[in-house]
Amino acid sequence: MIRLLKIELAKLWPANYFRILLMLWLVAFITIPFASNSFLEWMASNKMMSQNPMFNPSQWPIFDFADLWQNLAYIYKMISIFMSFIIIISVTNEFDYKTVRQNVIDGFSKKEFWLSKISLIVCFSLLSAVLLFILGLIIGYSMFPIFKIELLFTNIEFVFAYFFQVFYLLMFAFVLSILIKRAGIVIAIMVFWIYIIEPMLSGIIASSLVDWPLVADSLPMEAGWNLIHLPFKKYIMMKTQDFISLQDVVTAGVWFVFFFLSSYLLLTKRDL
Amino acid sequence: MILKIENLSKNFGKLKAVNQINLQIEQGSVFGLLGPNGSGKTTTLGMLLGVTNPSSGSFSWFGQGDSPKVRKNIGAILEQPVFYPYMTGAQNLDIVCKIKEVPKSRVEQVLEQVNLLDRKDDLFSAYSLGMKQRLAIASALLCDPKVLVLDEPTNGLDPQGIAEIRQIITDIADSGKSIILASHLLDEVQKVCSHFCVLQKGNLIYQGKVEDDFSTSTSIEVASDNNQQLMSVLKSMPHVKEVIENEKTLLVKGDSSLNSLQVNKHLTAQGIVVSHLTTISKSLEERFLEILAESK
Ligand SMILES: Nc1ncnc2c1ncn2[C@@H]1O[C@H](COP(=O)(O)OP(=O)(O)OP(=O)(O)O)[C@@H](O)[C@H]1O
Ligand SMILES: [Mg+2]
Repeated sequence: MIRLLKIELAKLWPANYFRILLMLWLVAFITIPFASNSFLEWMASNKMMSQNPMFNPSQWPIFDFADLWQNLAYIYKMISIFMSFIIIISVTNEFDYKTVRQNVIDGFSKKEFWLSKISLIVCFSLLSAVLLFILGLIIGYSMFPIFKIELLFTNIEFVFAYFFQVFYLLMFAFVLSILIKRAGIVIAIMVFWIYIIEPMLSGIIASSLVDWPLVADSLPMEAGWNLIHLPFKKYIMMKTQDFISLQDVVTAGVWFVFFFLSSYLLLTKRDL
Repeated sequence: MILKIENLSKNFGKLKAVNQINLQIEQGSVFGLLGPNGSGKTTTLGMLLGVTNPSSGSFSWFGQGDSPKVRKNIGAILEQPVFYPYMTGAQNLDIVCKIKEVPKSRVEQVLEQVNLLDRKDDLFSAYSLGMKQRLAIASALLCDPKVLVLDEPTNGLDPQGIAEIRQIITDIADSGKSIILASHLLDEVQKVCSHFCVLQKGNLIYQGKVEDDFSTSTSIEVASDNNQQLMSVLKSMPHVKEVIENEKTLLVKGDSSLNSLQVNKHLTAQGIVVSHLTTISKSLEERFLEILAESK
């Protein structure tokens, strides 16, 4: 697995798109929490808004421990799409250049080729989760420099949920890439699916099948997205799911297994 | 034996791209896989190299069956040279080294061998077609393979490029490696191969040694003012197998030791003066067309 990952990284490193996307992602990852903090302070200092004493965002404990893990994970899951672009381009390039074929001729089994991409996906997911953890500690400590271990690790399960969420999204991108083989089309379909098709479908399902909210939550992207629920509503006194529910994990898990198996079968059973 | 193929077939829907092929290739031979466009050469090689799943049948490399591990000891190019365009030639070969698990030090050696060392740090996308083909051959040589599989390695090259690649192939063959060469260029096969087979519409219609079809038989065309007399004299000559009467000339077929000098001497000794004497070297092209015609 490590050997395969090394080969993948050797393939990626000289590629410009990889370095650019990785930089964009890193910059976004590091700046977004600070930027959103300043944004909240700006909202608070805005006279019109601060007239309402109920609404004072600068007082929200967004980056304080315990709340911080879910909040950060939620913010970060919006930028994992950058990572999925790297996977999409890396996989579709192999078909475009026919290098997947040459890799097999040179001595990979089709399964090893699949595993090498999986190792890359795991590597990116781990990187995301580890970075979330490190930045969480730094930000949390700088906002709230009291160090109580049990407080620090309260809600830490959101780091694992974030790992799963990135892994899930990248696997979805992987399956689409193997199926469609053209980077532009895959990216277009993915964006279209996430922002138009699924919201519409879930809207239709929600309105016509009121008794079945489960169906809307079980669409493939929705299922991955729901692992980490929107936390901020609780600051304006609305009901929020501030834990990871078993039902969400199982729904996403079923899709995940499907992505895993279908990517394997698509790659190994077809002619290259 | 380096390769044994048994009843190998591939269907694309209704199309039988490769149909029940049986073949054995011996160690040290340079084997030509001949056939017109679309006859199934690339499909056959694709199955042998693990990228195309056979519909039925089996094959075995080096008597060890078919596995990715076996493929690490084969150097192969299918159709065109395939590399990552955004990497340099050397970086591309590094990737192949990692996949084949051979030491990186081989890269410089093989680049030297195909005369590409001075361009190793240029991007692959900036290479000319000839350089791309040479890089592909270098890549195939990385693992010091027991057998080299080349699919139309001179496709699209200019005459000088073709000559360069053929020289490299001949050198490799002389170093004792086995080569399997797919081509529709007949003189290419004739120049470099020791054995060949002919595919047509997925069927294996002929298989033999190149020399059987050429050097072991000689054809000489003779004519004189009295062809009847000439005929009877020639028929009694040693090494002559057959004399065929054409319109104005006689075609003498004999074994490989027969040559035009002998014929001339023999006839002069018998008091016959010839008006015409030429050795006909039959090209593979004629043989190929014959084989294709026979199969119909
Ligand atoms: N992936 C595929 N799907 C459907 N048909 C295919 C596929 N690959 C090849 N064929 C068909 O199989 C037949 C054999 O093709 P193949 O590429 O093996 O021929 P070839 O002998 O290599 O020809 P050429 O000299 O042009 O390279 C052709 O009729 C081709 O159209
Ligand atoms: Mg071909």
